[in-house]
Amino acid sequence: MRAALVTLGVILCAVPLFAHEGPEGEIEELTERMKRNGETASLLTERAIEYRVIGKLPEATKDLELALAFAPDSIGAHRELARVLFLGGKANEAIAIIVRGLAVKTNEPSDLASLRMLRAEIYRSQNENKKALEDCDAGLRLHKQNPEWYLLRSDIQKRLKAHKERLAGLDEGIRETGAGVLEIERIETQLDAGQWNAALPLIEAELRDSRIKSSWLIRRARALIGLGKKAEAETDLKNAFEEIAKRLNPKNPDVPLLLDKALVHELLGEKKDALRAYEEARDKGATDSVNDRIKALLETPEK
Amino acid sequence: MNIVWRTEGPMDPVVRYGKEQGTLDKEVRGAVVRASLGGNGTPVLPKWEPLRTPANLALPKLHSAPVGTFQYEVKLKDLETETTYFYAVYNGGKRLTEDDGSFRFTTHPKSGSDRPVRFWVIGDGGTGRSEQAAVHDAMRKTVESEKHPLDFWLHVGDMAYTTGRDNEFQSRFFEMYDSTLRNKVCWPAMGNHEGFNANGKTGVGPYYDAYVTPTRAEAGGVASGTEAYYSFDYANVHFICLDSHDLSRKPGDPMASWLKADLEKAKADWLIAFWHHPPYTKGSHDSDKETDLTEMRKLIMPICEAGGVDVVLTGHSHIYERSMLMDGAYGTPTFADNVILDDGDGDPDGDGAYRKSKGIHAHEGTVQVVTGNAGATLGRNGTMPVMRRIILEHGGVLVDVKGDTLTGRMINRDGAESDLFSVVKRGKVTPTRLTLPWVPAEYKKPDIALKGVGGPSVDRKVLIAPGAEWQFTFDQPVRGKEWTQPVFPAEGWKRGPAGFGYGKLPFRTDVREMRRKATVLYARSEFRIEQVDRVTELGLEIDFSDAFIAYINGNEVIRSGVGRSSGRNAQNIKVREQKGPQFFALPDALKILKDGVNVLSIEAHNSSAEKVDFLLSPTLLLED
Ligand SMILES: [Fe+2]
Repeated sequence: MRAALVTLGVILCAVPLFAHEGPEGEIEELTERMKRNGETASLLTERAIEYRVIGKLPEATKDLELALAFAPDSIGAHRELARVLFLGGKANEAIAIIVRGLAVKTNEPSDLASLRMLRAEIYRSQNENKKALEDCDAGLRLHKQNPEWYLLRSDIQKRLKAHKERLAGLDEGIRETGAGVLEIERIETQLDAGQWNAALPLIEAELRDSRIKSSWLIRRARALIGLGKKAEAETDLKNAFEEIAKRLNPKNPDVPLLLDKALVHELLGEKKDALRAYEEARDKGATDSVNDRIKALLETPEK
Repeated sequence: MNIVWRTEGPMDPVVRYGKEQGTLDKEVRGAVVRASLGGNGTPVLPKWEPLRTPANLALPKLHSAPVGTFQYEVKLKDLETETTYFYAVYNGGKRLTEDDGSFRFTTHPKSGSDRPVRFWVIGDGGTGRSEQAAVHDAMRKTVESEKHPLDFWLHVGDMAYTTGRDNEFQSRFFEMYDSTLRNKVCWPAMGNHEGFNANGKTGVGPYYDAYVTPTRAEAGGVASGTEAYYSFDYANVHFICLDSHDLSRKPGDPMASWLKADLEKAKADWLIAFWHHPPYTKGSHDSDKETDLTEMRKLIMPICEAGGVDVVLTGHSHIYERSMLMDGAYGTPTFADNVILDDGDGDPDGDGAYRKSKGIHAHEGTVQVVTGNAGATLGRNGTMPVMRRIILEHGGVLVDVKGDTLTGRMINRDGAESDLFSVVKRGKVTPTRLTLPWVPAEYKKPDIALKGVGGPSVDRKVLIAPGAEWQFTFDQPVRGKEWTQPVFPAEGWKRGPAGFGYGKLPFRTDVREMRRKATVLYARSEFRIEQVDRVTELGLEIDFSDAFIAYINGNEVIRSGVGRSSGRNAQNIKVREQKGPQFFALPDALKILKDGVNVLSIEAHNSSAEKVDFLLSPTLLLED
């Protein structure tokens, strides 16, 4: 058996073969395959995904457009194309593709939901938050099991300062998925809405249960500040800062920790330090919401 | 514990279980959870029509399973911890699973308990090829000879090449690991190949049909709310699984937020994370160049290391690479300077185990293990400088955790231990960063001409094996080309394993009766292809004397040594001087292949009826 396999290996190298090493190799192989057997929607979509991985967005776009021509009813291809266009900064073109995708008949509601949610993300990036919210609501009616989408809606409602609806939406998400991140977002919402007394006992419970406490200490400090207990809040913030300092990698600090550090500075009124930490987090790949924090901070007067 | 199975057509699902093989004294009724009943234009056989009731059609659909497939699930509750139960699946009163003791499971020990833990980790195995089976066998033999069974196993993705469709899961995963799957839980991470047909955002696709993973912290950790990523406790180890394929990796986005929250709560002695795309590799993938990999390094690793993760297990790159004890290497490209905390080999009998403080602490070092070597063709692009071991062998990793010591061993396909490392967490250790650590030797990529020697890096499959059974004849009247068509009665033809021959050449079926009577032997064999549009190469490896013409589905695809015409009219048969098998690529055959059953027909010619030797010994190969 082994001897036979060795023979095969040696013999096979006599014919041209395409080693798929990494995305480039995969692309080469898919290209070759399509040259021989013709292009199909699925092969084009596969190649487009590889192009996207290595950042070749125009090539990915071209493949997906062709894939859609072959399979005009593929919602997956619509979604991929819209995503690639959005990544490449072509938000309006992406929206046009989503509109086309939404017109496709399908038995799989989650497909349509994913198109809706992608459009919500695009609208959010354009600061069209009301339209974004409409898409979120529609998407979540179609598919209720993705915690990520509840978070997206919550973020949009936060921008619209619709805290009551935000809490109700998160309650729904917690019921449907049970996701821990939604529980945390719910407490954040209570803090944003100034419901200090409602949030406090929940935060206390989380603090007791946590090995790493700084994020919860900061949340408690926010509640305490809201309740006018400045001194207690300061103690929490200092303890949080100490724990963060121990965990920060001196050379390569991680983004969530930097964001927490920035928030500690911000709550302590240390604007310059806060800005520095936010900017570092932004440079290390934090989501766009960090820009809003920076902008808000620049607009507040120095304490 | 969830027990999941499928049947063709509906059944009355019952699971019986108990602590002794002979006494399955508890019974739970199952429920149908998914079904495949056509729709979207899929043709439905008449026998399934009566099953297309509104209730059945309202069931969640199986993504791409054959029409008529029903999937059942039973959740067994109130089980005792760390206890072995035997189980059997019944259709009403009729037992379906064998009573051989292999259908059993052992429940988790109490969270935090100090009992030894053993698990197996593999990645990129789902090819259905012999390497995959050998890696599995090697693990089974090792645990058997050590009399220390697995507690469970982890699959770091790419378990069903090429596109994670239902039939690929069936033949390249379930059938390949059947004996281990029925009694050891497999905790999965989704690979990019599963991702072609499964969507992490919606949880739809064959990957999600195949698994039940915790969404509400059923096995410990913080509830993820999704099957795409999750965590669980096993004794004193906390495991975290991420979807590195199709979800945002950005801090602030849900998966990273959940990871942070989960790490904040984790109180086990050991933290182990696993996912598909390796943050560090120069195997068949390059983590300096591909965004999926770069982002796992730049965005996810910092959260892991600030949370105190000890070991990261990944695949995707078809190689075994194991790092030194390292921390904080998030940049691109990856350098070893100042990110290595211990540049020894981690072998207790060599440079010594890696040391960390007791408990969980940020930035005391992680060991990265890339084990994408469970079946797919191996490949290497260069040298990742943080790696201590770079091994191009098929295999998987056996991990043992005993109190304060974790040991990893790469068991290769032959059962040999190709790597061994240990991490010991004891007392207080102050990590130091090495400015100029040990680095592995640079790798020079062989020339293209040599590269193929280990076999090409594409999936290769034997469609008609060397000893496969064929229909053949040399004494029945054969006229025209009818006999090469897919549908042909072949009345009076014999059956036998290839090769066919006589004289000194290596044959299995002796056809010496042919000598002096006939010069042509006709042979036919069927083969199956699942996805024709994925076939890149079809090749015929054939040993023959002296000449032949081959046909696929009635079309001539290759000839050698036959000058003109064919069959009894063939002219100018050349004597073949060459010995041994020869490979012929069949580029023209790709257009005439079809999904399902195809037929290869070969007429083999001897240059003379008087000659003392004759041979026809063909093998059909496919690349996809
Ligand atoms: Fe992969």
